[in-house]
Amino acid sequence: MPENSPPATDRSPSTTRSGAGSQGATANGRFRDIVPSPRSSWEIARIDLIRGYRWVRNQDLWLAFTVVVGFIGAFLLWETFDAARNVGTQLTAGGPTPTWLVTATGILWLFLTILLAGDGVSSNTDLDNDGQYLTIRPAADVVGGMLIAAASKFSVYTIPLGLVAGAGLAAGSGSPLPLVGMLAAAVVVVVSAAAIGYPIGFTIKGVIRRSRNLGRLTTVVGVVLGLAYVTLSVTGELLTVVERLEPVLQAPPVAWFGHLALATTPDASIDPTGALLLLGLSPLAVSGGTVLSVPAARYAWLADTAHANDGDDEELPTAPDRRVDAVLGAVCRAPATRGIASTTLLRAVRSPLQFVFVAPPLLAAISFVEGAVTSGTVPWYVPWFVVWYGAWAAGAVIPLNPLGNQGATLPALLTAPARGRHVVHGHVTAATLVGAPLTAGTAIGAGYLAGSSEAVLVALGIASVAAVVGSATLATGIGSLFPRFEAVSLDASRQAVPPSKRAYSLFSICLSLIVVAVAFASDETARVAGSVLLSQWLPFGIDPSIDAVTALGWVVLVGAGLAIPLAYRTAARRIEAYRVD
Amino acid sequence: MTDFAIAADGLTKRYGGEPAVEDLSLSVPPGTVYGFLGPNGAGKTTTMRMLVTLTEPTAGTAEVAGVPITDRSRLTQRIGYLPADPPVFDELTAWEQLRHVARLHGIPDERADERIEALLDRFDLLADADRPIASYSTGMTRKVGIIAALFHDPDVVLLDEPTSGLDPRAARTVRDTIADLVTQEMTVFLSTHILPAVDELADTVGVIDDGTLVAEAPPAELKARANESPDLETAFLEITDERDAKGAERADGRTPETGGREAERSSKNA
Repeated sequence: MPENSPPATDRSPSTTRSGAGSQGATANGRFRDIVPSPRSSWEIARIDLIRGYRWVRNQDLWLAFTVVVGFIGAFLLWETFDAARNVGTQLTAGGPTPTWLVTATGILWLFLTILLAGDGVSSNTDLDNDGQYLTIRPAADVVGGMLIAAASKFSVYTIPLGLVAGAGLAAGSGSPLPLVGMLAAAVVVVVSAAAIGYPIGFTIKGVIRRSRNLGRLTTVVGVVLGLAYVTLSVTGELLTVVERLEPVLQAPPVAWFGHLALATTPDASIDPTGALLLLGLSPLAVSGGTVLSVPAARYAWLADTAHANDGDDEELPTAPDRRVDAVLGAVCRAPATRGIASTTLLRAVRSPLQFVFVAPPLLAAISFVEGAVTSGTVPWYVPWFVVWYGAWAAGAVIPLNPLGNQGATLPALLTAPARGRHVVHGHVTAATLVGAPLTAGTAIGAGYLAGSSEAVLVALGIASVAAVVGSATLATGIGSLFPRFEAVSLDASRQAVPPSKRAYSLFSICLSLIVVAVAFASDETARVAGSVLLSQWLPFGIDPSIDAVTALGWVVLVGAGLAIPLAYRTAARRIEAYRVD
Repeated sequence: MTDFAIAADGLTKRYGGEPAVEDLSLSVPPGTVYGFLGPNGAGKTTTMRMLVTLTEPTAGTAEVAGVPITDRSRLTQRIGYLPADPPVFDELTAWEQLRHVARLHGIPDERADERIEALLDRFDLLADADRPIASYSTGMTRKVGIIAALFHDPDVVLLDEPTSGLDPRAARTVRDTIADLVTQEMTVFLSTHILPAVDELADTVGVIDDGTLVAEAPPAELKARANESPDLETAFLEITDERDAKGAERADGRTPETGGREAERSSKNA
């Protein structure tokens, strides 16, 4: 027997069948390689959805986010119902069909397609367990499972929207028929968006993975796109973009989604051709998109990721020479302080997910910016809000969990000769180096736009630095008392350790109290308002005078002044004596 | 102060009444290797954590390098510790990680870099020293942890599973390094499941089971005690079997989800 011949016992049944049978098996294999098996795809999607549900259920941060989105969603759904009911009533009264309905449906489809393409690029479409699925099922089945799961997840937005809009139209027109069209559109929109968005996302992912430069720029591109979207939103330019896109959104085939949504609404005077064509072509488009997703996914999954050290460069690495170390060398004497600060900053830059936990107050900033852009003026209090936010964020982003942030390296820290004070100094230095210039710069800029005097601008600069240093120190004290070690998953593969809820709440309350105290101590209007509010809120008919409110403000400020060294001392001792039980 | 590098007397740790380590006493002379064996969840990691001040004993005393384990600030200058999970930041490169640890030990960058380069070269990591640790294999990550535990020349080094996940060549490097350390009068407290490594390196072997030190002797003596065949594996199995048989009745009534024992089991099995 030739050396390379397989042993007889290794031959599979297919290799011993007749030639025709073998060809049939090969053809079947090829078909299985490009077309997903519905049964296997559904099983993969089912597991993915169950995992997603359990993941959200066990993540307090995401549960809170879901609740907030739920409230906002409920409000928006009510508004949708109201608007749809009005449209239904107008149509029944013989009014024209509003063109914005078709545009809105087109925007929804476009927005979902972009989101799903982004989802395809993200780690949500990475293969778990070292690609083990691919050793069990053809790639087509895995892709099919991912598409079903993605469409199911995003249908959480479209199905309720379709149902509520349909219900509104039904209520306005007095007929249940609009529900049929709306529901059909809700399904077709999300399924086609997934089938078109995912192959695009997979292809982009494959290109990024093969490119050293694009791989490095992914985060930057993501941030730029996010900032561009926020900027367009707050400046109102998003509407301009929609207006520019209107000819496309009102033309086939994108307009057909709107036509399908309104196809069953009485008196909507919609040409049914587009809706019928969409219903007829959707299965083809979805099948085509699914089949195209398979090679696109293979292209992404089987990429040999480009590394920074690819190439002919055979030189061995030398000691890293970071600018941050040069800066820290100038401000930190103790190597341990420099070590903590440097590592904290490097980790923050390379894994910036920690910043997500201080992002929520920025939602308020959007309204400030929007107001400033539309009115052309900045209110006097905005720069002071910037000082408060900068101080709060500088404290909450890193120093508020000095023990938990160490993760697996906590034993190394605790068994090293570095003292508790070095850890505190390192965290405060890192927070100040980033937080102080950003806060001072933004506050002074906002103050300049608000027309503040030079004295106020100087005060803003000094207050920014002092507030960031004080806040970071206070945060280390509170955070060392209430450490948190459990990470929160921010997506399928990225985790970050947020501060504990107790530390987060206590720290936020402390900083808010200090802001109120500053207002009471410095501003007559705030004192009057405080006196009125406190007399309403306090029990036993206590009615504090304006002088009492002033005194209260000063007491809190003196207390805050004392709390900072106390927090420093607490953190240093707590970290030094911390035990891993 | 004792003449031993490690001296423990009646060291006990209980989690909510459940004993993780019970009345453990041992003495390790300077410049020797102490092999610490035990089944999963036997109390090895808890013992090591008590010896390096990470965990406070419920009872008993111990000194490491002549320093009581209640005095962390003095003790940390004399010890090196490698936990079972290598203590590294995934976002850093190996060089950055080691420089970070050097700084925690108060070593200036210039001096640290020279030593880091030599150790990275010795452990065959120098070519990858500028890559993030997140991209390393398990063995490479462990090597970084080992270097971090050793490079400040501690008097006593405690290594928890140092060769776990390493390829044969890397495991050999670690064993050679440990042998070198002993010639430099360093004391090594070595917890591992790789019995040939203990057989090769250890001057004394301690076997812990159910939180109790059930045997302690030089490897040759332990092997001689084995009935079936004179090797360390048989000796270990016979010692722990005997112990398990005695404690089986007690163990049946114990809930597994208790305190640090289970935590230790989980971390070891992970």
